[in-house]
Amino acid sequence: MMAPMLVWGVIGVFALIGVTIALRAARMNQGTVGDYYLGGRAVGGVVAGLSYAATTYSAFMLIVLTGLTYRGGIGALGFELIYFAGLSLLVIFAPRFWLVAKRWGFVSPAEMVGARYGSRAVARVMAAVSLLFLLPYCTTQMAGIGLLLSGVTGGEISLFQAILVGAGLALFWAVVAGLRSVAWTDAALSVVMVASGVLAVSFAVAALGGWGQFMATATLEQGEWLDVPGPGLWSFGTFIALAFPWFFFALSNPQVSQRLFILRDFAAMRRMILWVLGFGLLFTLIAVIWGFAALQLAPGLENTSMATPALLTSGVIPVWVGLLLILGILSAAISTLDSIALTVGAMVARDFVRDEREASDARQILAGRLVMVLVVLFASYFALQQAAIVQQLAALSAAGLLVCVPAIVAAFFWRGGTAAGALASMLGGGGLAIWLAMVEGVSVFNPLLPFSVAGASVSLFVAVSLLSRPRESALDFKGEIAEALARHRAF
Amino acid sequence: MRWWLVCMMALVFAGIAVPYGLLGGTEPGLSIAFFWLGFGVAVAAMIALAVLRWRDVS
Repeated sequence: MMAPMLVWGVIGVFALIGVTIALRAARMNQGTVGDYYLGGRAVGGVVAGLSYAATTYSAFMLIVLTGLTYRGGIGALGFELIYFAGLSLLVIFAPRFWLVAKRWGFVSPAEMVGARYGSRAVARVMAAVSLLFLLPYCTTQMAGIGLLLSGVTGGEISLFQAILVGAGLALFWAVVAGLRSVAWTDAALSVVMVASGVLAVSFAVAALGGWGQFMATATLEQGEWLDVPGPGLWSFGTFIALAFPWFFFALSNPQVSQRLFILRDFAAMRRMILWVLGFGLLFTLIAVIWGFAALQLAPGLENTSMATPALLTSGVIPVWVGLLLILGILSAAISTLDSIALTVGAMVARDFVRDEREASDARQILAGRLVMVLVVLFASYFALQQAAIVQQLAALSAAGLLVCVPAIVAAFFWRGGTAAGALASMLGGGGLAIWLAMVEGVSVFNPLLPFSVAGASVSLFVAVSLLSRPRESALDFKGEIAEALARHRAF
Repeated sequence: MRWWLVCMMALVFAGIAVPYGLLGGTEPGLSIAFFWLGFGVAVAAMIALAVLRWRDVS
């Protein structure tokens, strides 16, 4: 076990550095909505890339993915890499998101989709769907922080204390200077995530006799874990059920798609994507190798989510590396949490509070800040309560957010798509997802769930669009940005 | 764009079909791990190839 005072000490230093970065970011704020939520649309590629990566790769990686590797083996690598392949959607959609956001001044992805179909109701429903499925996802980040800190200190740091730390830091970093403080702290946190992960894996593998011995032991003693379906978890159905909705993460999750609005120019966009690719591949390998190392160094765990705390307290990882990795996981959780809080705040401010007839920047920023406080309080409260309904919704988040994808794709590629089609697609698909998972009890490991939701959402979108007419106020994204896409040589 | 899309779709399909259809259930070894590692590198290369052709014009 780790001494609680030591853990508190490094968290204190970590918090101090983060607070300093956030306060420096706050000095640059200009008080406008575009500046607060998007950093003035002038963020460079490296900061944007690291921020995107830190937002995407959450506490899920070194807690859940490591646990899935421990329990089910190499299938976890395949699942995460199919998700990684979903970044290819950025090649098609990143230039389009950026161009239309710049052209019409969009701040939230829901606002963009609503404007495309000429309907604020579309924007509001998309924002509501995002809220419904992202808030429970935030609780899992909080729970991850609690699991980790109480796990490595043998319960000396309580769940309440751990959640208080996570909530305080996420809230401060998001509220104080909006996107600028979130992006800057995210970039710093991402460095901690990767550096701590590389160090921890290196020490774990060295303790197992080096790479050759590590792989030889895995082959000889855990041969089943190197196969699919492996020891049972990664059946083909489970693999598809998990990988399919996660493939669309870059489009369906507004906290990452909104990052496409913040970029300075095309060169920054290209650099951002290249940094995300490098970070993503490396961090995926770290999480999976860490899981295999835990299998060898801390075998026989009942609760596989405890693989990381068990490995950290096994005695083979130097205390300072363990402390650094704790900060890395804390960073992963907080960077995801504050980004979601900021995006949800932006969606409420733009899609619910904004009055199109008058400038109301101060009101929109205040509303967003209040929403951020509510989001973090919600996540903290339900993480403490460990409410079953919230855990079910969190597990459902990837499949649930899929219902936004047809309206987003069609916004750029099908002029026939209508507001009525978008509303039917999101409401019908979202309703089906909740009914299947929470009433019928269909597991997220069952491919019936994501494929039914996606099928219903696409069918409703196409059918209702064909039966209705595009609104007069609908925007023509496809026509308006065609020339710019060609000029930039984007697909 | 069309060729890039076709190649990307084929790559993703291979990322699922090869481990589950060809490599799974054979002798215990590192073949699936190395295949997926190569798959990840190939995905990164494909995406990099596409974004490196972008032109930064005002």
